[in-house]
Amino acid sequence: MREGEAFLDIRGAEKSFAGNRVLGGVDFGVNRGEFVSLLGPSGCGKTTLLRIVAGLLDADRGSVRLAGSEIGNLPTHKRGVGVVFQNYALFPHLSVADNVAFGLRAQRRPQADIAPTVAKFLDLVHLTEMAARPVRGLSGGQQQRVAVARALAVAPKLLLLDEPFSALDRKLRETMQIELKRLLRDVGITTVLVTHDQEEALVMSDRVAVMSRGAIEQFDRPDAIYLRPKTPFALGFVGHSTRIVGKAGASSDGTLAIETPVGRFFAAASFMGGAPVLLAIRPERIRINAADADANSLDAKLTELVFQGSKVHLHFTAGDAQTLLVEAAQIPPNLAVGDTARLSWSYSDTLIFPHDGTLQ
Amino acid sequence: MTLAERSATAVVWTIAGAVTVFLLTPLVVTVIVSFGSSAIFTLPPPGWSMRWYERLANLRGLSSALAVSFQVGLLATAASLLLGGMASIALARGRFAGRETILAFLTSPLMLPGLVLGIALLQGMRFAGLRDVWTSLVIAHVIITMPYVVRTLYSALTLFDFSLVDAARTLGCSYPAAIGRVLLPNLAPAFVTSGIFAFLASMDNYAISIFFTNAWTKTLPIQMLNYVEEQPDPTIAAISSLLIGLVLVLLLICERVVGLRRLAEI
Repeated sequence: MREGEAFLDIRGAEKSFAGNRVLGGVDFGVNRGEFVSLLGPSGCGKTTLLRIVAGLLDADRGSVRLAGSEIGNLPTHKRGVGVVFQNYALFPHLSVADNVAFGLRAQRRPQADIAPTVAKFLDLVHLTEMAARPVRGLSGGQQQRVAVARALAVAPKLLLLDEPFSALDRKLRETMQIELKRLLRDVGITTVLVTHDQEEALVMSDRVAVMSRGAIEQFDRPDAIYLRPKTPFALGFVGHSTRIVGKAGASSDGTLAIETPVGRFFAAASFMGGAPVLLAIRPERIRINAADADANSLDAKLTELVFQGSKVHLHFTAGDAQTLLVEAAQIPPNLAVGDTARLSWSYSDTLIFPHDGTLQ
Repeated sequence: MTLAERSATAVVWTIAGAVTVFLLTPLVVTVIVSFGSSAIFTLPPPGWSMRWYERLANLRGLSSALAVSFQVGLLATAASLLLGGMASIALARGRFAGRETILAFLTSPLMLPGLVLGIALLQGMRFAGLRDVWTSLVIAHVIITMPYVVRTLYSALTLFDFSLVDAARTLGCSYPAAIGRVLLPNLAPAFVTSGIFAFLASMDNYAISIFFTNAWTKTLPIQMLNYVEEQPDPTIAAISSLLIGLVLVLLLICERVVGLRRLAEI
């Protein structure tokens, strides 16, 4: 591998469909053994990037290197990249065991190795009893496990997961996410997950790349993405937030004053005075009627209370139309809809972005 | 069931019965006459005999016409399945200009009158300098059988999940190998059905074959029509009965491989 080159190393990947630019020069690197997610809304280019890595699409420009060698010009079957497809793409004419054996047979592995390898991977995904079954009758979770076993059996260098949980119901999805994460970590395979589900990306990944309009907006650890989003898009796509539009005022000692229609707030940032800015706060960072010194605060009226089991979402309104979202562990006592409360949050929890006049 | 539903069912069954009788009567008559002893077509026959079948054994030109028809039919079907299969994959998968036009063009021989198509093909091949009767006959039959193959395979392919082919490729199959290992076994019913239809269309064709035959190379339908002109006796009914038998056998094979219900759906 070259100096500073990642295990999967994509440089300047570009792709257009009929003049429509889907990927605009993407750089993307994944380290050996790492689990990375490509997270973004549909149409952001994440699936295109995945198909380019697998060789199911050709990039217009750019290089794709895996384990130190260029694979961008190799046909799919010579890349050593396994894929678990969104619908699992199990072969309906074959049994569970024959699905898992398919790649080994296609690559003409020694006959004596095939049965033990199939048995090993069926055991890994707890489907040994199902070996002889046709794949048609399997449940969604079982189908996914067959697809994972089938992809891993040929020992690929890299595993790509294309929205693998979207066909499962919510409860099962959460179980399978943890189970699959553990399995892949035990196998030690480098994995790229493509998903539009932020929770899935945060739960499973070592690092998350947030994508929008054919570019990577932020590529960071899940907690950094949530706590320190770099762009308003990353802020809006991952998690909830309250946004207040304002204007940068004076700054001193690294503390910036922001003038907004609902008051003056401070943040640990520096900005040119007079520039339009977007101020944002995560909902669980706002406290209700707390006696905070050195904190931003404002008075707001509770307009709605949404009970969500383990947590409560409280919607407040300040001024004419400024809405604020607060997340609390339980319904605060002595607070009813229509009441006014004092909301406060620390300077360091105040996120600041340059503002271009539109709210996403 | 309400009265309206009962009477509707009765009407449908009556119509279905009448249509079946209408379609089957000529076939039944042909088979009965072929076993009759009379040299002219009489019903009911005055007596039973196998003489028309015995005559087939030394009927001049029959075995060679049969051989030509079988060879042409099998070759044309094989070529149609290969070319039509590849074309259908491109049409079902590709997103390119003129897709609809090509699809309509490949299936158009079904819509054109046979004579018109025959003359056009004859002129086309003359123009291309192709004078070999056998080759032109096979090419003409590929064109005749193509619509049956493309129509059936295209509709099957539009329902086929091509991520199966992608999956096979990521597991180590080249593209052609993925088609062979995944697409073919999953679409085997469509290939068998369209192959049988194509073969029967080729065996049955008269209007176009007539332009590409000569005294030495004749297909079965043309040879049969010659017999009728020369000597209209129930020998022709015996040949027809054997052909009906052939179709029945092919349908039974279909039934075993695909199931008639799915056949009707395709």
